[in-house]
Amino acid sequence: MSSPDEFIAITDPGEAGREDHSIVDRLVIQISNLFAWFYPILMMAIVSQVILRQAGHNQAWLDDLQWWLYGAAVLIGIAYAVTTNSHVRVDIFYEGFADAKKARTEVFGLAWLFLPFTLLAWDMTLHYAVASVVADEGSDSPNGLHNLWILKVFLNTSFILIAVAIWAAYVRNLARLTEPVLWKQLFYALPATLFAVNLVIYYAVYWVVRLTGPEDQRVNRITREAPFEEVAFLGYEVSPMVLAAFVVTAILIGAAYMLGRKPAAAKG
Amino acid sequence: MFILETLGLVMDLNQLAVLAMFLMFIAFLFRGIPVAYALVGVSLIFVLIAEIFLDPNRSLFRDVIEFDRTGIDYRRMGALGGRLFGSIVKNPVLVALPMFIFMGLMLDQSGVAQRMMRSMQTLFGAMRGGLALTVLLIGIILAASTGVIGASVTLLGVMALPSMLKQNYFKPISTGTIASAGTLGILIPPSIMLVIMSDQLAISLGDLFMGALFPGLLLGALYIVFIVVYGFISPKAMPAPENPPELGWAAVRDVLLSVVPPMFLILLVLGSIFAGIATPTEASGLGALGATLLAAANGKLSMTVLKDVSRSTMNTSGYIVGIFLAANFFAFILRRYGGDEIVEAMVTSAFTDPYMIVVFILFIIFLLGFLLDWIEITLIIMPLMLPIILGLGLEIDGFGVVRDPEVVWFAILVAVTLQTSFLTPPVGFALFYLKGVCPPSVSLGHIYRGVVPFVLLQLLGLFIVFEMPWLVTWLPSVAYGN
Repeated sequence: MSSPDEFIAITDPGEAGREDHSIVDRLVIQISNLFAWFYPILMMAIVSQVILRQAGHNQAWLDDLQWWLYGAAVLIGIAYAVTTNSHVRVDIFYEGFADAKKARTEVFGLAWLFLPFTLLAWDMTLHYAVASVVADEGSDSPNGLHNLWILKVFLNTSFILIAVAIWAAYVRNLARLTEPVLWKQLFYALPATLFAVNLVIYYAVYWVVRLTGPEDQRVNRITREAPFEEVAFLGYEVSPMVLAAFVVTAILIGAAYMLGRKPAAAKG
Repeated sequence: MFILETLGLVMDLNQLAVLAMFLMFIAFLFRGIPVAYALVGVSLIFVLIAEIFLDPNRSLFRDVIEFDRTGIDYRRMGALGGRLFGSIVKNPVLVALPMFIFMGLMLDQSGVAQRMMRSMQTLFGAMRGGLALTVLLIGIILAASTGVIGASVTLLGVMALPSMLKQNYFKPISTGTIASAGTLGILIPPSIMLVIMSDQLAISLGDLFMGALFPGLLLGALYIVFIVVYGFISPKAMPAPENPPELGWAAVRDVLLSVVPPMFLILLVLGSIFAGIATPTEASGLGALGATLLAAANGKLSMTVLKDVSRSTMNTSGYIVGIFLAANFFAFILRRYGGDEIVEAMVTSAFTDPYMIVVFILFIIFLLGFLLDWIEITLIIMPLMLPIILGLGLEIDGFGVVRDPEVVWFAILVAVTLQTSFLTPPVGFALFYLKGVCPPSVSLGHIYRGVVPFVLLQLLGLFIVFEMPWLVTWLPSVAYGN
């Protein structure tokens, strides 16, 4: 039997399965490793605040700093846990699955469930962050940490990191099933691909309309008028942006398929 | 359509949808999809269902089955931005979460527990049942100095189980003792479960910590009484060694010295809260530093340990906050479907006596404990229960000091109930940790059988706390009374 210390010994979660990690996985882990230092710093910030307060020098900004550090670190932690495959699961059945079935479960969970949500959360926090920047939002407390917008922009940005981590983990798992060429990557993550394409089209069209529109256009009306206005389609009112997303996604996957075929055809 | 029509006679579409959400979540879970992904996935699917099928203006279903509009549309989900920021980032209470995790991981590295285990085994191992009592005592002391359980179970399993088996202890009683002693950490403060509960139920973390102390110690005491009685009834189950070693004062001194460091940590964390020097959140930072100092004092602190502890903290808090994020979105969509009212109506219509409703809720949570573990239950079920508890008009004596005493009492009842979720197969965390470090001669069957008496003891503890709410509310009233 090994010694107890070996069982208790701590390991670096980012090093497990390193040989399978792509450069993107490593990037997520490097960023997370950097942010991991926020925890010892947070510990010192808390201790300093307790000591300073006992000495009669309460620092309001230290109170703010605590949840700034915590908030930034745990958001990055979500991406880290994606890369290290640590998100908790019920594994009574999973344990017994064949490798391919495990990989399919991962692909579905990452690309069909979590990635679309991450894109949604990114889009939802984008408006929130922009509003905060525009208002130059500060702290609740007069002596607190100002520039609260930094943290809100950080929240928004962290979803991009989470999305990147998911995509890298998804491709890693797809490789266990099939050769992960580009068209397959796009196709096996269809809901996420569709949604991402939809977001790109939406914001592209929005900015084209906004920048080319008349000087006196009302910015908050843009998304309610043409070309955003919903159109009738198979008995439903559908946004043209959604229809465009379907078309563009099909073209995209088709193009990736053709491009991916060429070298193989040349060889034959 | 016909199926929908038939179902429509039983329940309306909203009830159906809410039921389907929970069932789909459970199905995803057992398919092996991580909890966080399953929660957001189910929610997204029901967003699509709402957008495509349930718009009252264009729905084909309108004539077939009743439903209320969900009001879900893409633009309106913009509320998510503020929700996510407010509940996850700008949440000073949750600062304690990573700090207590850090403290627990650091304490595991400090060698404090190993030393305690070694010295106590030498001293008490010679008595009949002594090893089991050692495990329980260390379980209680560790519980009061850390807020996570994983390592306690592992540590007790690796260190105590081989000696217990060598002394011919029965396998079920050995594994049962280890698993239940190791899980006390999540009830006895400081505990990350209580941190999350205080956030979800909007009650003071200090009240919860103080309120959980007596019930936690009560459970520990019940275990000890059980082991002593069991030892008398069935001496063969926990025999004394055949030729006990000579014991001197040196052994006693070793034990006393080994208990000093954890006592220092308990004093630092609970003492600073009790004395009003630090808020419970700040106490987590003090505890993290305390554990780091203990590791340094034992010569176990190095740059590598600090780095790995920080990264593991990142990992653990990352997946817990991941479920936070997901549960927040799930709750948002569930509420849009009227889920909270449906659940509330279901629960409150079951009984008329408010105390029976509490019992009913606890029973449901006990059953859910077989399928889910504490994180999901605390994050998904607790927010749904809060309005119900507030609406019951329970008269729990807060001694004029404790705010929302009925919620504090209820939270502790749930915390005691959730203790069982660690031990109940098939999905008991403690059982997995323990199985991972067991010698091959111990089967899962032994472990399952071993936890049965302890689950019953937990239910007994639950009954006592239910009958005597002052066990919960008295200490916080004293701690914050002046």
